[in-house]
Amino acid sequence: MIRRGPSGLVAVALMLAVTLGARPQGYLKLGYRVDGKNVAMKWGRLPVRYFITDRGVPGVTSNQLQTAVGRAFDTWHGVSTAEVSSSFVGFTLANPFEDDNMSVIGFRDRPELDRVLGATTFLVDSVTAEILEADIFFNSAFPWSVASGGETNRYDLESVALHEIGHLYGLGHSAIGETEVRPTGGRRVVASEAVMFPIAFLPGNIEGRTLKSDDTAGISDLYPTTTFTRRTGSISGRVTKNGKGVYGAHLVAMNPATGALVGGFSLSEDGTFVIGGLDPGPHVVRAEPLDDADIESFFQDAKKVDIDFKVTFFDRLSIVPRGGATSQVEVPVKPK
Amino acid sequence: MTSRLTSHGSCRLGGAALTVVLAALPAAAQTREPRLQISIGGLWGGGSPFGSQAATETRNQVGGERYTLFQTETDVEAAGGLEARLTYWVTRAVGAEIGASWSTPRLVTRITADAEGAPDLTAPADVAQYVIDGAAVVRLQRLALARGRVVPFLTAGIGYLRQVYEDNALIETGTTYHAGGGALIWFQLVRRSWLKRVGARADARWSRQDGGIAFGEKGHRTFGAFGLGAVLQF
Repeated sequence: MIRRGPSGLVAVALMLAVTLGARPQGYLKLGYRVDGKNVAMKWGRLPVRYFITDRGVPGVTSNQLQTAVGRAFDTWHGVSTAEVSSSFVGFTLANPFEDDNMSVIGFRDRPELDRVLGATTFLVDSVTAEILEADIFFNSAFPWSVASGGETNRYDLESVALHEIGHLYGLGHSAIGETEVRPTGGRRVVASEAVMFPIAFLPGNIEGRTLKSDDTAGISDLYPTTTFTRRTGSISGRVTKNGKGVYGAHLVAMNPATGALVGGFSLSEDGTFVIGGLDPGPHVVRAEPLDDADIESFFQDAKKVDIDFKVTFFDRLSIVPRGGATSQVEVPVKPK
Repeated sequence: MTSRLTSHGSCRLGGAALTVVLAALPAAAQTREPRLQISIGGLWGGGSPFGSQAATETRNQVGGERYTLFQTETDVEAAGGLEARLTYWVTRAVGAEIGASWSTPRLVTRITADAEGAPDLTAPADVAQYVIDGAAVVRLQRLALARGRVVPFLTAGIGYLRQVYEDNALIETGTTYHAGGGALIWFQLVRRSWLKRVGARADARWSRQDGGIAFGEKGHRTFGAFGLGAVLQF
């Protein structure tokens, strides 16, 4: 965490997924602590103006990097229920993560970060939680590809760019995914249903170029259109164990009409949660421990997160109203 | 004859189908028999499936099946309710009626096959259902039994559907269609100045609901319904 003070404001740089997992304020949103309260981090002025570092890596030129990043931005801009926009300013010799008052996206060689494909840093106004600048780097220590159908043994740049641009707009990690522990250490993704899941698909896989319900709900919740606010609703409730709140439980709302999955977390010690951006109608609510990725990917205060409970469904359908919230849903879970 | 019905205002919901039926009947078919009829009774509507849906995730492989987190299957359960119908007999054989019903079907989702071993569960949600409909009724006098005390009839209609989830969380609306038949069973002639006959009405219908809480591939639900109630003729 770096502190500095531009324009008379105290601003803080956060680097997501490398040194800090910024605390999620909502179910998917990054939050910043302002006067003791979590405030969602988001851009106050759009479009986001960004530069691309004029340096390629083996297999990817800077022009190809710009094209892949542009496609990833366009994918987020294609969410009809969200109002986000960006503008490519030009190529630059500046590198990401430099103190230059520019949002820069590019490659950097960081072999010491041997499990980090990419990361995003922010410059945040600590009074308003407004994002002032964000940089994205892709780790050139890994092999990259921009081939339309993917390339064996190379990571898909557009997929990782789509994930990092989600952070750039203020989204945190989603926990909708299943993993298994590798014998050699780390985790392997078995499946996931969110671009914002913190672990990438294997090299050659391009499934990460498509946003899922959880991603579109998240970006729409952060930058909603009027239609989105009027048309969608939320489920609020509480996860409890032995009568006490469960902190850090992962919740998934599933629409039995469409199969859409949208996730959230219980974010306070009394176990309360809100899952927003849901289509109106009945939903199945499932609570599970946060055990499919490193807890630090989601919460700074990982030690407080309770993962000692069994997967549990809420015993009724939860009815999501249009433009409103359900009455309190209580999911009592049992220890493992 | 069409203009006469319109002047009573009771058949407007019956729509074009009613107009066609009535236009085919001669004016001589009109009778001085009691014209106004009210029935109030119970209603039972059958259940119907909305189909299955899986909670799935994209596998970390190129191609292949999706990973199933859990499976769901959703139905509307059969439910009882109350119904009132007001019939105006335009002729001895043909009537126009409006009806209103209330019932409380439950939407239930069975959750099975959780990938992490959560026990199977059936999660319900209560729904209050209101229908206002207009229908055409045709009495089949020639098929009457027991010296005219049991009179079969046919009916078909269209209506407005309003379904309200528990706690008024969400209101869904749609259109209902029904067709069926039954019998009017007259117990006795009263012949008071205002009340002419007392009896019972039993009918069975095929119903279809478009919109409302229905979902799945078809976007509508079809089901059988049965009604049984008391009838008063004036």
